[in-house]
Parts: sequence; structure tokens; C-alpha cells
Amino acid sequence: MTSVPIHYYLILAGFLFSSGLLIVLMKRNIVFVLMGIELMLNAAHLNFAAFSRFDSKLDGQVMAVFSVVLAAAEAAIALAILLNIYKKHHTSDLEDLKELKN
Amino acid sequence: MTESVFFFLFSGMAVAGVLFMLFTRNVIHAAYGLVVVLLSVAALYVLLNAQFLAVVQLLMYAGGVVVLLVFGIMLTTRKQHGPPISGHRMVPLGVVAAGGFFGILATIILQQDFAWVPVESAMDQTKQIGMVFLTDHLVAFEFIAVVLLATLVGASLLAKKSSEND
Repeated sequence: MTSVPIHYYLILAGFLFSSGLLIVLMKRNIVFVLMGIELMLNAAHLNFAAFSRFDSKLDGQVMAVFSVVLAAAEAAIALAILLNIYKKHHTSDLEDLKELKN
Repeated sequence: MTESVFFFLFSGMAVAGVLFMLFTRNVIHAAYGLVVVLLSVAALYVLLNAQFLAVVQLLMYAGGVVVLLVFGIMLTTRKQHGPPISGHRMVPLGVVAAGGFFGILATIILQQDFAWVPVESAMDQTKQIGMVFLTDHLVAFEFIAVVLLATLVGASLLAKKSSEND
């Protein structure tokens, strides 16, 4: 079976990561920024899986599974914090949350 | 041959989903785009012979994280304000930063020569991963269990605090 070169997977992961970065920088809604973070984490998992193909010990996949669990934990905590922010300020817009400025 | 066909199909789907997320302003629509991206990445895991990781991706991301995010959208949107619209900010700076980062990454990746041979995938890969979890990575495995417990307690504590302050 002729396999796709690993470069393609890495370039795709790089594209996913850069788009996640762009979403984090550009969007004003907090949930949207969380989605960008999930995209960046997914790009990292794709890299782990791509490199794990050359390793008979499957360490890359194990690392990716750990990272998926941490991503889920991060999403749960972020949602709890987001709900607290929304209760206090009644907005989920990052431009309106400038309490720490000045 | 078939692998490259499926690779371009699913990576095209992922790129389309990402572009949709970048251009849409409706946060719920972006969540749909995220689901498309996550499902295509799960398919790419299958192409990479990482079936266990693909199932974990479907369960944890498509089943768990996206539901949490949609929950977050619905709980922070007021009905009279219409659909949850997210504005844009710092667009030129973001495009330059992300585009430059992607350019640097692509240049470096294309310069590398990964002349390795793919390992034949074992048939009982899931069993192998389970064995590795409980032997080589036992400390990390136990540690992640503690982290998950702390996360659950912390999340419930945060939610409880906010409801008491009202």
C-alpha cells in the first residue's frame, strides 16, 4: 500500500493550528475562542498520531489519549469559569470584559 | 492509492470546516463547523492506523466537548438579542500572525526529510495500548485520573459558588 507522505499530515496539522490561532486572536465571543483552542489541540493530536505510525511502541497514541483527556478537563473548567463571568457581567464578549485593564 | 484519495477527501472536509469557522459570525454555526473538522480528523486517525484514537476522538470530542461548548453558547445567549453573533477584532494583526506562523511551519516541514518506514500495525492495537497504559505509563495514567477528579470537584465547586452568590 502506497502511503501518503507524513509531510501532508504535518502541513494539514499546521493549517489547523494556525486557523485555531487566528480564531483565538480574531473572534470576540468567549465560546468561539474555546473552539479555537480545541482546534489547536486537535492539530497537536494529529501530529502525535502521524508520528506514532513510525513507532512500534505506540507512545504517540498514548500521549495523544492523555492530551485528549486534558483537553476535555480544560473545556469543563473553562465552561464553569465562563458561566461565572456571564453571571457577573452579563456578557460573553471579550471586548466588554476590560475590568483588569488600568 | 486509495489512502491518498481518502486523505484528500477528509483533509478537504477539515479545511472546509475550518474556513467556515473562520468566516462565519454565528457561534452555533461555528460549532457545526467544528463538528465537521473533528469528524474528519477522526477519519484521518483511521487512515493513520490509530483506530483507538479515532474512537476516543469521536467519544470525547464529538460527543463531549462539542456538547459542552454548545451548552456554553446556549447558557450565555439571551433570547431577545437574536442568534449569538461574534464580532471580529484585530483582524489584520491576527491574519498576519497566523499566516506568518503557518508559512514558517510549512517551510520547515517541507525542508525535512522523514525517511522512515511505517511500522506494520498490530492487529490487537487496543490491547497493546491498554498494556502500555498499565506498564510503561502507569504513573501518568494514575496522575491523569487524579487530574480528572480534581477537575470534576473544581468545576462543581465553581458552579456552586456562582449560584450561592445570587
